[in-house]
This record gives sequence, C-alpha cells and structure tokens, in this order.
Amino acid sequence: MFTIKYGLNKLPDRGKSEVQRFFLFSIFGDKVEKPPRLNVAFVLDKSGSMDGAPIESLKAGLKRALDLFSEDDRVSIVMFDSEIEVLLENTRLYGPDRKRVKHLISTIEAMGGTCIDEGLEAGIKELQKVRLDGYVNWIILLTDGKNEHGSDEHAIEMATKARELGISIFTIGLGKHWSPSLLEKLADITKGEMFYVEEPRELKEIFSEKANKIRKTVAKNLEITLKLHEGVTFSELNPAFIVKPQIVALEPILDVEEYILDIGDVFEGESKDVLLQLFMKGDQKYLFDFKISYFDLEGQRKELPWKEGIPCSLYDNIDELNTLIERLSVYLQSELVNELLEGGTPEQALTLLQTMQMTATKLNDDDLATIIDQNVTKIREGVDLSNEDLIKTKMFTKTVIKDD
Amino acid sequence: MTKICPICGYRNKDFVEYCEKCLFNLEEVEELNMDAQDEEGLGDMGEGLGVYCPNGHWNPPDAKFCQVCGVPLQSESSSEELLIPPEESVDGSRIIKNYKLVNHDNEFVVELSMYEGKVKEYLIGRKSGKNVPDIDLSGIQGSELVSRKHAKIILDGNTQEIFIMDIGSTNGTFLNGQKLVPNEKVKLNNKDEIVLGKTFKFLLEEM
Repeated sequence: MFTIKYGLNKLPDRGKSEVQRFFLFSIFGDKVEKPPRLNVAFVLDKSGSMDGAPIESLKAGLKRALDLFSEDDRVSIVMFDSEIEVLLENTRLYGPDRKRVKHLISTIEAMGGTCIDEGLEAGIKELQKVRLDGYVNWIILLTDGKNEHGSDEHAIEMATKARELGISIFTIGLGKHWSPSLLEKLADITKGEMFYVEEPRELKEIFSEKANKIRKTVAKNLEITLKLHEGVTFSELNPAFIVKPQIVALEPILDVEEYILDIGDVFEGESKDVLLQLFMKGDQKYLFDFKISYFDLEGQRKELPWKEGIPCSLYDNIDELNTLIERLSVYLQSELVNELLEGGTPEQALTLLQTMQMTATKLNDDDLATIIDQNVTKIREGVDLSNEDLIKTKMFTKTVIKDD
Repeated sequence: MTKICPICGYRNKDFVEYCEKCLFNLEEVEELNMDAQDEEGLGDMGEGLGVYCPNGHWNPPDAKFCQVCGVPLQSESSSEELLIPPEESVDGSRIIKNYKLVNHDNEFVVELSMYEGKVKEYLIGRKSGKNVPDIDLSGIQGSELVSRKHAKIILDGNTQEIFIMDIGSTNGTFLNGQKLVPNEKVKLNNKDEIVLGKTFKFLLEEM
C-alpha cells in the first residue's frame, strides 16, 4: 500500500549538551490494487468575471471530467456567484443521465459576484448525502476572484468541518485576482492541495487531472502518532511540515503523551514527506516511538503496530533531505517577507528576499528564481508587489518540484 | 548566549545550526565568516543586506548606530573591493598578453595573463563553503544570480585567443547581449560585454 523510510539530517553530537535536528518521514504510495470509489463535489465560480473564455473552458473541462466517473462513483456540481445554485445533486452517473448532465452544464451562464464559503457549505452538504465511509471524498473548488460577497472566516469554518468529516479540498485559482492566502488555508486545513491556472484554456484539463489523481488514492486520512523519548522536544515555532508534494505547516496535536500529525491522503506513485524540527540531547540515542494509522479505501480504520525506539540514524539520502530544508526555508522566509511588506518595512524584506534568491539559484529552480528576482527588483524600485506576484510567489515557494 | 539570525532577526538558542524561525543556515554564515579575510560581515550574503544590532533590531546596511536602541554597529562592509587575481606560478613562461575584467564602477577588477604555449582556465562563480572558484564574485553587487560554478575564462597561449564558456549556470551567460549555449566556448574580443546571471556585467579589456 505504501512504503515508509525515515531518518535524521545529521547525527547528534556527543560534544554538545543540546542539538537541533531535522527528521524526515517519506511515505511513498505503492500500486493500488483496486481503485477507490469517488465522491466528488465540484464547487465552481460562475461570477461575472468568468464570462467568455473562462466559463466556456470550464464547461468543456467539466464535461470531459464527467466521463471519468463510473456508475459506482458519486458526483455533484455546485455553481456559485453571490448566490448558490446546485446544478447537480449528488448522483451516480448512468448512460442517459450523462447526456442530461452535459446539457445542464451547457446552460451555465456567468454573472454576479463571488461567495466561496456558501459554495463550500453546499458542496459539503452534497457530499454528505451518501455515507462517506465507502468513498474518497473531495471538493474541487475553482474561483477567479476574492470572496467579496462571502466571509473568509465562514469559509475557514467550512474547511475545518470538511476535515472533521474526512473531506479534502483541491483549490484552484484562475487568473490574477484570487486570494492566495485564502485558497492556501482551505487546502492546508483539509490536507488538500492548491493549484494555479494562469490561462482559462487550462480549465479544460484541470478537472480531469484532479479526478485522475483522486482515483490514485491508496490510503486516506493518514496519521502519524509520536511518543517522544526523554530529551527530545519539538521546536515550538516550527515543529512539523508536510514538505512534499507541497509545503503545509502542521500542528502536532498533543493527546496525553502522544503527538498526532494529520497528513492527509497518500497517492499511488507519489511520496508524501513530513519534516520534523526537533531539539535533543547531544548524546541522544533513541528519538521516539511511532505508529501509523489510516483509513483504507473501504473506510476501515487501520492501525499499524507501534515502532518502538527509533534510533538516531541518518536518512538514506541526505542531499534530498537538505534540499527539502532549503525549500522549506524559502517558503518560511517568503511568509516573513509578506508580513514585512504588509508592516511597511520593505528594506528588511529585501534582506530575506536576497537570501531566497541565492537559495533558489542553488536549487536550480528557474520559476522560483525568476519570481524572486522580479520581486527584488520591484521592491528596490519602491513598487508594490501585485496580486499576481503574490500568487506566483506563493505557488512557487509552496510547491516542491521533484528533482529528477 | 543567543544566536541572532542575520536575515530575520530571531534570537535563537545558541546551539542551533539553522534559524528555528526561518531555517536560514547559520552554520554556512559562520563558515563564510571564518573564510572571509575582509571585514565584510556576511561573506556570501551580498550587499544591501542590512545588519542586526546586538539587541536584534534590524538596520539598513550603511547604519553606524542602531536606529532603535542606538548601540554602535559593527563596521559596515566595504564597497571598494579589489579581487586579487588567482596566483600564477611563473615557471619561466613568457607573458604574451594581459587582460583585465572590469565592471562599470570598478568595484570588480581582475587581471589575467596569457602565457606562451600554455592554456589556462579560470572558473568564475560564487564561493560555497570551502569551495572557492578562481574568480570569486561573492558579495559583489549584482552577483546574486551568479551560480556557484557559472562560467570559465580560457586563455590559450598557443593560438593567443581568449574564450568564455558557460558551464551550465542557472541564469545564463550573455556575450554582447547574446545568450551563450552552455558548454560551448566562444571567442572573446577586446571591449566585449559579458553578463553573468542577468545582473552582473563586466567588460573584457586588453592591456
């Protein structure tokens, strides 16, 4: 189902009383024997700004994606502007139905404002019309704008509710006017992923891509439970992150003496990596006990036996681990840059950006290097970063591209 | 004792190797500081970075006193920097030509000699830890996008020609505005303009 490997970036140092170390779990999804049944709600923006190419591409993409749903799957479609329209209630798609639904899609017209949270609420309601256990449950959310007619707070409440139910969200932002911070929060809370679509025509493919990815789920709602040994503590500032495929900050939840990390789903052929920042004694021998639990594709909760006394040993690919630390540093520094720019201290932001610039060069990531480079130039010239700059910076710092 | 992160200002526990807040690699800075022979505070960090006072307040790079608490700041980095050309053992070979690589404000000047019957290669880049290229651009304004191993200058004392070759840099090498194909050497002429990684520009001058 999945394969786990793990280890430290560096051994402890007996010559010191205390050291800082990074520990990586890499969980790789092996081949799926029997693909899961999908329960997917499309929650899509049909506000006035979607008029023209965007809405037409959306319709084409949606029709194409529906062909990937079998009679065992469930699908629902919620369209939102400042109001909600449930275009398709949670249903199984049979032959003749498919035609009817495609016709329905053709009638979509773009107008009105944007209210993401109400759309999410309706999407969750649709998903809940079946017993969630036997399915992998996802919302595919698309918007091209900010949540002008809704409440971000309510959207976050809805994401939290979705997570409690075991639902994840793929958030897709189209163009340059959406809020990267809101879409990131919704994806992170639900252990989904966020995507950026620059051109409307890309909408023709993206829904199918996401449906195909969901089909590759091998384990749902995976959790790592840790019992730290004496001498080992988490960093309070930055204890844990998912670092692959995208960077997501994790808050270890303390349950009596055990920390629980919710890391979401694992997909076939993809690794989900989790990085811990730990402090420990210089002569530490064992780090922690851990166990993994998850839901299988039938909705059964499985618990693997505890692994006791994980020794201080190195991860088998230190270069890879160091690269992930560098990736994470660029992401964290970029977050600080946003705070500093909002706080009106661009000079200090430049200090961070120049460091990021060097790291990006070292990482050989052209997209990342280019956007940081551009941000440096703008800030030096006293020009404010545009929303598009913020979107690109967020996407390129958050998405960890595999080095091949 | 605390370790103040030079880029985000976080006051770290003294034993950390990476800043706990922004994961900046503090050890790399220490190593660079030890390597650095000038008083440039942050080695590889480039100019215009700013400085943190001992109390953790951020200040622009040219500040002499902390703008917040007024404590004196360590000597700021010197902008006048002359790079010493790589040491060349003169084993009796005759110098047939001298060249100078120079940027527009003379902040960067390197002299290279061509020896009769000898082919010499010089690596240009930015130092990384203990790996220092022959021509090290670390800390020079505009060099942020120069790769650790960026390009080579080749002096051929047989044909009396000088070449440049991009060696797979991230941000490219440009000769008189034309981007070079990596790993192909291209002949240089007097007064050619070379740009490394978009922002670091210099001229070749025959002396």
